Amino acid sequence: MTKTSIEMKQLVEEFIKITNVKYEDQTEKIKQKSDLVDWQFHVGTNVIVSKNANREDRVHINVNMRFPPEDSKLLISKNPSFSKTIMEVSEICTVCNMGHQWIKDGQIIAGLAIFSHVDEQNLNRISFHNVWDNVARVSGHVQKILRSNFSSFSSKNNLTDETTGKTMYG
Amino acid sequence: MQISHSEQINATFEILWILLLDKVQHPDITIKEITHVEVLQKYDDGILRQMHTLGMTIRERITIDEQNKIIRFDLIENPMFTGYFINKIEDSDEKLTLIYEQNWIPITPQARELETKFPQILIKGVQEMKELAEKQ
Repeated sequence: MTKTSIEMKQLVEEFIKITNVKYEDQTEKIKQKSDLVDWQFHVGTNVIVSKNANREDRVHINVNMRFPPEDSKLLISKNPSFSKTIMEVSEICTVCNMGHQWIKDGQIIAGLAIFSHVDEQNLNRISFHNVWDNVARVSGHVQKILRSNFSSFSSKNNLTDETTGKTMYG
Repeated sequence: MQISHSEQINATFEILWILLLDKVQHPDITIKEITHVEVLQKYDDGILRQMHTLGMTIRERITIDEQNKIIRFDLIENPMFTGYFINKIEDSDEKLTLIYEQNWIPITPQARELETKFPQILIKGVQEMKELAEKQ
């Protein structure tokens, strides 16, 4: 039987609780800003689990990396490693079947989101944790790519509460 | 037949360049006629890519020339066409122009029939990229 949005939310919360990772239900905050998201959890440092209002069939898991200004300054076309880095990030995401999107803030590249989803029909603890692990693993690998191509890249994530306004689905 | 289309893009060079580089590996995002994309080989300056479109299997040696803001797609061992495709960014007075240029020469009668579909696909491809770059 097809799970409702609320049922999916309850299941996801249960799967998050099992891990003992600190999380916050950001649904109310998000809904004040946008109708595009049904519900959203901010898990750990930078993982966002959400359900879009326009997709009844899936739950999104998104690692939202925000770069500090000193790192963003490296992500410019004048940097000789720029294209190589972009291609390598694209490649690892393709190979691992992850979506990715560079986040712009004004004129600078302020972050990178790595994301995947769990299908409603397949939403159980094992598949949810697998997708979560894979998204986190790819995001860790991407940080290694950034550090190896830009020697002074710190990869410190500046997330705090800003993720509520920065989700790419919101 | 040589065809081209350009659009002014309201985005930074970095964002547009990132999207063009992503398109190298995921052309199906902005051109819906493309399926089954595969990277066959990696080089220091690009890749060898295979994909399906309009009933053809296409292999292209893709060369990324960041200095000149050009990505060139040379057809490899194609039984219907010979030629290349170019994505180019022109940057003047802080205004970006994205140009797609297709220079594919048909070598079979069937290829001449297919050719008529190219202008529409090319224009739509540039427009989709513009939308994506300006939305980000």
